[in-house]
Amino acid sequence: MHLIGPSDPLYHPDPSKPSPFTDPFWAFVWPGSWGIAEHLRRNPALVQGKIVLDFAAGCGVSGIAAAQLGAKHVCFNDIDEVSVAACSMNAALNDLPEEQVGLEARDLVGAKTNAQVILAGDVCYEAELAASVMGWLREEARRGVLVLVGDPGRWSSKPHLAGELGVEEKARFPLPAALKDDNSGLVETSVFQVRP
Amino acid sequence: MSRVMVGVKRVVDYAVKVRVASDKKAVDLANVKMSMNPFCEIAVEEAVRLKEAKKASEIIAVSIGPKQAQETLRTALAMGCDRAIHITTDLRTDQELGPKGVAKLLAAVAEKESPDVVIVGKQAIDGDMGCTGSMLAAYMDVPQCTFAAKIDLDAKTVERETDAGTEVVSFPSLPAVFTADLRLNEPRYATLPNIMKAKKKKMDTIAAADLVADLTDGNTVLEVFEPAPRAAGVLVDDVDALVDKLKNEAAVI
Repeated sequence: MHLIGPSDPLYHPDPSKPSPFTDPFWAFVWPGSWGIAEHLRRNPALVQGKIVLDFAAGCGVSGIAAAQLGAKHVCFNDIDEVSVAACSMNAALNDLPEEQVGLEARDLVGAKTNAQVILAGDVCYEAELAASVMGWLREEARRGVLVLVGDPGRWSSKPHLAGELGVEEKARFPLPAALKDDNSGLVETSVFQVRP
Repeated sequence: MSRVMVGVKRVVDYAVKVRVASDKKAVDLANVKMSMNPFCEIAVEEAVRLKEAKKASEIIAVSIGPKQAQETLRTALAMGCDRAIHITTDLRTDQELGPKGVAKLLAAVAEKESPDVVIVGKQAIDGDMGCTGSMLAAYMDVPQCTFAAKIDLDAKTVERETDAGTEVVSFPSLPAVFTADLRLNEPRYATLPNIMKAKKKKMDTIAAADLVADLTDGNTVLEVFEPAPRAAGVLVDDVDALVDKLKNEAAVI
């Protein structure tokens, strides 16, 4: 994966040397997406032979895991063009065949997708967006799509990922050290299935 | 698990050489680098470690000051706090708004948020008052553990470093107020992925006047002046001259 890590100068912001990128969120593995990838590795049948959408893909880690585990097709989607470009580069770096990979840089919230599985890592970290994203994911689940949401238990996520909302926790993993460093205060991450 | 509240203060950066304003009423704050008070960084770090040890469920960072106090709160959020409350005031937080006013404001926030653990720095490096934590504990009517060098919530003890050694003090119960001493921990630096995520965390704004009517403490700064400059030294010709000066001028040998 093409990522920014602790050995890169960009990781340690220096006001006198501004970064060429504003918030390069696509240069980090996010804990929720990492958790989905871990969950898929333990349960590859969830994506084998399926059409998968990596929604708000970031660097594309969960979609790449799905592709490696036998998904028929993975569409990497993000509203940020640079993120989709990063996904494309990371897919190439992992030797994913071109016909297995789709790229879509637009807002899919509200759309009816052709996906059988939607992977949504860290989609509740913006409090204002969380409600509309989760509402759309619930609609997709109602249409029969398997919707997996990855989240490390952020304060902004908690109201949207409660069991009484039909969001069921399927797995929980301790974060590896590098992800803890990238996410001060967080030590574990969960994978939820959105029930119809 | 506990709810934790931390107070953070924006102060003149510890490395800045301060200048006195021309009216000699205050330190000149124009174009001066400001940062989080170092003892507040330690307070935040302790709160984040409690959360990472699963002893805290939520950390609320609170700061009082002008709009720029939000930058300090963003730093606290990047260090791992969950959300922030900015209490706005135009009063200068290095001298016009004293520890009593700050303690009243933090107590008003604590009443709304009901934290089990409140951590503040033992002092701010601008006013050097060192009593906000104690006053806050009094207003909240809860135990206080000041100058903590180690906090153990399970054993309900803190360690305090004194001239004679380290004392272990037990406190009766939570909620309690803790003030952070220098050796409580070594605060982490905010890195890019954390700074980025902190931008999206929730920050509420409340006007100080809506929380507390009277913020004054009756004190007024009459004059601020710089310490007298040290007199220049002299070069002596040889050891005999040095010994002579030490003996006869300084009278130290």
